[in-house]
Formats: sequence, structure tokens, C-alpha cells
Amino acid sequence: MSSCTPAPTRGDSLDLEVVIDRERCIGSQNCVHHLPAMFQIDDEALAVVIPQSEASAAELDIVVRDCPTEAIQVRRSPLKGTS
Amino acid sequence: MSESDFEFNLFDPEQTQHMWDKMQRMRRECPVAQPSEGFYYTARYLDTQRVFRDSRTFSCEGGFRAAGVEIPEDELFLAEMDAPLHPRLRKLLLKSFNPGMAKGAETFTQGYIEQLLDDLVAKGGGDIVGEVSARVPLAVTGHVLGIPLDDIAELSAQFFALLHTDWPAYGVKDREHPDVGKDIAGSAPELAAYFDKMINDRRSGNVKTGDLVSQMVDADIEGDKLSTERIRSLAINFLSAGLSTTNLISNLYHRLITSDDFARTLRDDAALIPVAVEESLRFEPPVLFLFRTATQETEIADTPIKPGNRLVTGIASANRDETVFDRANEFRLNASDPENLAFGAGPHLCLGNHMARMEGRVAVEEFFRHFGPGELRLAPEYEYHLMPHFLEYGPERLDVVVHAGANSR
Repeated sequence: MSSCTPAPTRGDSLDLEVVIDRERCIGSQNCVHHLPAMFQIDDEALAVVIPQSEASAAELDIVVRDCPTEAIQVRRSPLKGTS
Repeated sequence: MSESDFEFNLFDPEQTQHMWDKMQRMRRECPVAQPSEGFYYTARYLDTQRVFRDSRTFSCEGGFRAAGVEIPEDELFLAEMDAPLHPRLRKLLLKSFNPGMAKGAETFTQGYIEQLLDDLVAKGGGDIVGEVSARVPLAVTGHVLGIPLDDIAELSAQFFALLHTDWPAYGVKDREHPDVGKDIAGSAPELAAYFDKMINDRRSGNVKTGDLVSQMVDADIEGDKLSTERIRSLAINFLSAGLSTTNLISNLYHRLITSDDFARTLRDDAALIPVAVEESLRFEPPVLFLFRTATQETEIADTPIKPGNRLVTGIASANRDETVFDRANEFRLNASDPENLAFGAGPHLCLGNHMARMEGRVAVEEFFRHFGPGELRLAPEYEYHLMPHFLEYGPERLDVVVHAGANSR
């Protein structure tokens, strides 16, 4: 089973949720390189999403494609419209 | 300026270790030079970082072996693996290789360096590279693996002998015995037997420890256990990769001994020691460059790259990129520098980077606990020479004399 770190983010016009699959992440830090305000490396040398951080859908698209292990998913937030 | 000005022999240390001016001109005039047929050298930071980060376009296969050397699949080093094997193994190893590993090894490292420097003081001096900086990485990596310090000295002779054969062909071929062995067990039977015993003792439960070898014995990839050959090879991989830290410690010691300003600054403010370690890694990277192979057509800085072309990731040049680092060609302490590329970047980012940084920092801290200002000086006849290796950067020896007052504790 994957343990995930969801964090709400704001996309261009959508509320998006960024999820890192820690079972896949190998600590390449490619995501940190692109969006240092959104991703950081934790004590286990794996990527985590910084809570409350924001990025555009276009920026997130690059991060998703550049992850060497496809460990990052961006999906519509299930929280959308509930707050 | 024609491109031919940037031809050089990548395997000749007399050229690769002495081309700072050439690198500066390459960054300006020829960011992707062709040192020789089929080789493309990236001189700028962003291009070099991109090659490291994009492991799909730039493969590690065939990484650093001498031409024609074939390695059994189970004995590959991490730096010559691609997906899907590499991320699976890296994933598993990251459970061990994290900042906690370096913290856990710090007390041992501190005690060991203290003992080595005490011995140096007692003798009144010596070659601090051979006596200290070359010993620390093997002992510390060995400690993490679970090898007792008493075994390291004997093992290290066999280990260095292995590195100088065709297997694993760590850049130097044993030309007198080119056919020694086909794998680690063939090339270095005693070394292989030592690791195999370690592995079997842990597998059978006879030895219960939390060391890295037992972690590898216990680990599995999707239900499969790592083979004995794999664990043994990774152990040797870690020991040999850790050796580059020798250069880091030697470069720091050389600067401490030869620059009073540098020594005083760090002595007055220990918080600057980690910054100095980063700066040493940036300014004098222990590994000058690495290799990749293009898997598909691409372009780097308008230079077309074809499948099969070899990329030379110019770490040393990238780390002095004037568009990325302030006063890039000076050694200065700047805590807000972007990450330098001494450990690479991306999926193959050096697993042991925390270990190397810790060893460098502790080596400096122990230096100050042993030597007051001016108490350690270069021997009168000393001449600075670099390690005779094309991609390494650090002094081959540092002959020092201990002056009165040094602290042997």
C-alpha cells in the first residue's frame, strides 16, 4: 500500500491535490528543483509536499513528467466546493 | 575561437585536473564541447544538471568501466544501472541511506579521526592524506556496513587490489594481469569470502545486528531477496564510492594548513564549518565529471546529440558557472549558494552525500581540537601534486609537521 501525502494546492482555475507516492519516490529531488516552494526532502530523504503551497497546473505538469519514477500525481481535490 | 581549442584527453589527469581556464572559456564560448570523437562535455550548470536529472534520455549503463569489461548483472554498481532495476534498489537502500545514517555514524567517525590525529601528533607529523583522509572513508563506510575496524586494514589491501584489476576497473587496468577473474569472486576471492560470511551469518541469524549488511539481507524487492552477489557488490560499491571523500577531507585540510584566513574564520565560528564543506565540494569537487550515454536524439545548448553519444557531466565547470554562483572562481563562504553538483543530481544523486558531508565536517572539527593556529604546517620539502586520476581532484600527499603545543588527547 502507498502512503500518500496529499496537500491542497491552487491550480489555474481548479483546486488540485498533489500526492507523492512514497513507495515510488527515490529522492531524486527533481520536483524540488522545479518547485522549491512546493516540494522538499524530509528526514527519510524522500519528497514531501509543503502544506498550503501553491503552483499552477502548467508548473505541476512539468513536475509530474520530470519525476523519474512517476511518484507524483495531481488530481482534482475532493475538497473542491466543500469549504 | 574554434571548437578544436576545446579538444582534450578526458583520461589524462595532466589535462583534466588543470583546465579551469579552459572550462571558463567553454562556459562562455562552447557550452557543449567535444573533447574527443563521440564525447560531449557540458560546461554549464543548468545543462549539466539536466543531464543528471533526465535519466531516461541520459543512461548510466556502461558508466565508468574500461572498454570491453562486462559485468554480471548481479554485480553492477548503482552508477551503471538504469530503470527499472536502479529505482527499485535505490528505493530499498534509501531506507538506510538518509540523514539518520550519518548521525548514527558520527560518534564513530569523531572517535576514529581523533585517534588518527593523536597518532599523527605523537609522530610529530606525516602524510595526512595517507594517515588520515584516506583511512576515514573506508573505516566509516565499513562501520556502517558492519565491518569491525580491526578487519578494515587487511580488507583494504584486497579492496584496493580489486579496484586495480579489470574488475571492477575503477579507471585503472591491471595491465600485467588483464585476465584476472570474471567477477568479484574470481578477481578477489578472499574479499568475496569475507563478505559472503558476513551475509551468511546474518541470513542464518547467527549474527544479529542492525548494520547495513543485515538491512540488505532482510530487504526484499517485491518479494525477492537480494542475492549474495548483489549484497557483496553493493557493499564494495559503497566502499569504493566513499573513497572520494578522501579528496574532500584532503582538500579541506590543505586549505586549513595553507590559508591562515580560512582557518581563523572557521576557528572563530564553528557554524561556518558546514558552509566550508559545501564550498570545498563546489570549488574543488572530489569528482571532476561523470559519464552518461544518450538513449535518444536530443539537443543541449543547440548542440545535436545522437543516441550512443557519451555525455561528460562537467561537475567542476558547472560548480563555477558565473551565472549561478557569485564570485564563482573564488573560494568564499556563502551559505545561500544554490546546491552545487559535486554529488550529481536527480535519480542517481549520491546516496552517501550525508555521510560525506558529515565526514568532512567532523574532520575539520577534530582538526581544530588538535591544532591551534600555526601548529600544523607543510613539511619544508613538500610539493603539491594531485591524485594521478583523470576524474579525481585532491592532493596525493600532504606531508605535515606538527609544531609544539599541538593537542594529543
